[in-house]
Amino acid sequence: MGCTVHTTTHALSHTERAHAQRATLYGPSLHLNHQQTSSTIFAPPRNMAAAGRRCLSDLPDELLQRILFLVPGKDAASTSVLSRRWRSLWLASGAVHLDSRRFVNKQQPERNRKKRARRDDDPPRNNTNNMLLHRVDEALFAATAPITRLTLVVADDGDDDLELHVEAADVEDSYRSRKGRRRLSFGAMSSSVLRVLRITGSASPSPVLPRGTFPRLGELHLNRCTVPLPDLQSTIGAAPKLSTLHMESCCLKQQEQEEGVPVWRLRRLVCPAVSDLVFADCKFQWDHEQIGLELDAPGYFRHQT
Amino acid sequence: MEVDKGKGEAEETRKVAEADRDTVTLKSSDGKLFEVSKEAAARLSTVLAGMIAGGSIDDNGTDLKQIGSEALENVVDYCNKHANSIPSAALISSSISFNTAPFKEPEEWERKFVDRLSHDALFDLVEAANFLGMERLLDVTCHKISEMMKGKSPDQIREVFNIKNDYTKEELEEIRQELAWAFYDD
Repeated sequence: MGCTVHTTTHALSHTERAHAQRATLYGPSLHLNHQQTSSTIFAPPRNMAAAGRRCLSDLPDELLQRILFLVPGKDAASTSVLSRRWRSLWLASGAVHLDSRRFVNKQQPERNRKKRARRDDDPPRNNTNNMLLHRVDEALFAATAPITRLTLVVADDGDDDLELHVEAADVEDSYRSRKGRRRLSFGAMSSSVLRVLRITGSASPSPVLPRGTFPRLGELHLNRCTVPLPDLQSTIGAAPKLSTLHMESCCLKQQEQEEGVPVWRLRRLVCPAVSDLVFADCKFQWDHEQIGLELDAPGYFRHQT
Repeated sequence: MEVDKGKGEAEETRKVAEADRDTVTLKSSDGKLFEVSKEAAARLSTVLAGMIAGGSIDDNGTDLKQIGSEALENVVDYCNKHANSIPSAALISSSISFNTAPFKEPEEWERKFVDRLSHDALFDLVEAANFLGMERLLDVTCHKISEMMKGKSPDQIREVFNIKNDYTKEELEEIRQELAWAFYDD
């Protein structure tokens, strides 16, 4: 028997769209050629095993973007100077990760400040968190692919009463269409594209959870945040596909006792779609006696305390 | 006539045996054969799943001319050893874009699995995983590479990953100004 592989329609159906897409984007480096109907369809353009020292640039753009998707914003952006090919790869990676700790006490060098006309909406330079928001703003504005992952780490060094908000209904579109770009805020966030949200805050002030609806939000990671339970509940309620909820070093606050509402109801967290749940090093700040939190998460399989 | 009949029966038996086998034999570009659990292969790789379902698996070694023996060994190792703890590839890649599935951090054993690889082996494995439609393995390998890029200056990244700078000095300066925010603490 020859060592040949005959593709079937079935085999193709899984990958043909992906590969067809790849074909249009990266024609020459396409591995799988479906036009070829002879017996060995997996004939490679080159033999990977025979190549000498491999380098990152051997990978197709698609994979490099996938890698950049996981690289923090500043590092990702700075890859544009690597070589011509890398110039705009990071812009299409679909992710923005920024960490305000990277901006602490870093001033723009004089040469850049002179050459770049100062805009009205430039943040005050002494305000780290404003700076962070401004970077997010710039990164979102520059992005060429829909942002599906937004990661913000908020420094706890300042006195800034920071609220994280994203105003956009669609992060990318609203930033593109808006004339005078406004400062990024999470206030009325209603992101239809957002799938992962990580907020790393400080105990005080704590970032305020975004409000709005998140039809596709799959993961919510909160680190060092103080969150009123009702706020958390409303965020979870607005994210029907939220399957991962990770809270580390968070403090859950009780809501004001309302008349006629039983106490147990005030300490209940309902997360219907969550299957991966982590509460690590979390505190509960209840007014009265120490009562735990009642969790209603039919799908969860992991729970730490 | 007798002989032909016997042959036919043998063929029949072979076919049945093939259908019943719980492993798949894969053949690397350099002709080495690897056995992988059929169930794991189908679960972790959309391409292998399609081939198994479509009956295009060759009992004597399904030819994967794209993949060298070292990469294929890693792929098979990943499938055979760790198949149980991984969600279905079909589930993860029900849509073509990686952007649509939330990225999950690699597990401890997955980190170890990629940590031991050389650069060459890692890049080969990324391509093999991409070629075979193994979403989870792609996540894990891409995550490893992204970790290697974090916190490094462009010069360091060029050195580590053997990237040739083909910009002119003027072009570089232009980009640095454009992206001042990414560089001003350099």
